[in-house]
Amino acid sequence: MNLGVPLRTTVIWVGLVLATCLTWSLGTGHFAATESLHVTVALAMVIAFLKVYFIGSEFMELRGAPRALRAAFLAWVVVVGTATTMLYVV
Amino acid sequence: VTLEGRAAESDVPDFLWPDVEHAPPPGLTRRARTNDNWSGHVPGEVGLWIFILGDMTLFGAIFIVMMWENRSARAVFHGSALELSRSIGVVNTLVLLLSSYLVVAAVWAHRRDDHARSSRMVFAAIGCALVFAALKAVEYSYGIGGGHTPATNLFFTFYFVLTGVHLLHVVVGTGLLAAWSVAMRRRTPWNASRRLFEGVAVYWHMVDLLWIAIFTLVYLVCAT
Repeated sequence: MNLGVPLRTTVIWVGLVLATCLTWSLGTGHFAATESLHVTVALAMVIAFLKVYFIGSEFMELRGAPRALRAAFLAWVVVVGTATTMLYVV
Repeated sequence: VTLEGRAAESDVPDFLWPDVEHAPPPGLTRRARTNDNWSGHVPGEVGLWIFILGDMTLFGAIFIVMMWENRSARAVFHGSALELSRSIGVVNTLVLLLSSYLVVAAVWAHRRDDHARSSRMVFAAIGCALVFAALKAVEYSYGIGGGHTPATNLFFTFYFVLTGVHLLHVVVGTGLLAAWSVAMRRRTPWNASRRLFEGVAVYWHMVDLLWIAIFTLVYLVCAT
């Protein structure tokens, strides 16, 4: 069904849905405190903040916004994403 | 040529388009993306973005404090987070992602002043919001029924504060979507209140992106 949304936005949305389904397996799996689990969870955190970035740039239409606004949003993603991931990993 | 086709063909100058009033917002064209800090299309308005970024910063600060506390009380956080329903969390993530896409579709339909389609999209997005709130109510009732309250331990304090404040955002966002649908019933042209409609959409997408971070950190990371 054509909803009149640009193809690029639709493709990114499908990517976001697939990324969420990927974390589904994590969410329903049995957690064991292994080294590989921590790597997987850290990867899930990176994916989550990438999703946040794409929602901003594509859905909020920051892609075409003034550079100052794009930079402020990107700063939030980088600072909060890096801080939370580092606090988990290190 | 469709509107979205035009957005893709952004190298074509505006004046070559036969009806420029239906052109995509200038910010979506590649030409507008200059190195100048202040040129480009601000979705909504600047004042809204001060609120949005301020709100996000508040949530971000709570995320960082929670992850800091998680380091010193891993066993408590791990045991408590495992009691949350991750399946409901994932489904709610998908529900909000769908609502975001519907809001994007509503914006593009309204830009064409296709009020009927835009209205349908916004109603569907409101439906998603109701599903989200209903699932959240089920989750809370299970949690509180299981004896968990914000006073149980530090994890549940973070859990109830983050999800509670987020739910409040969902309620406010639903009210804004409802106001937008009223404007569409009155057939308000896009250009008459462009900033307001874009602002509602941006607010809703913020609700979506905050949930993605909450789900990942509270339901997933704290449980490991």
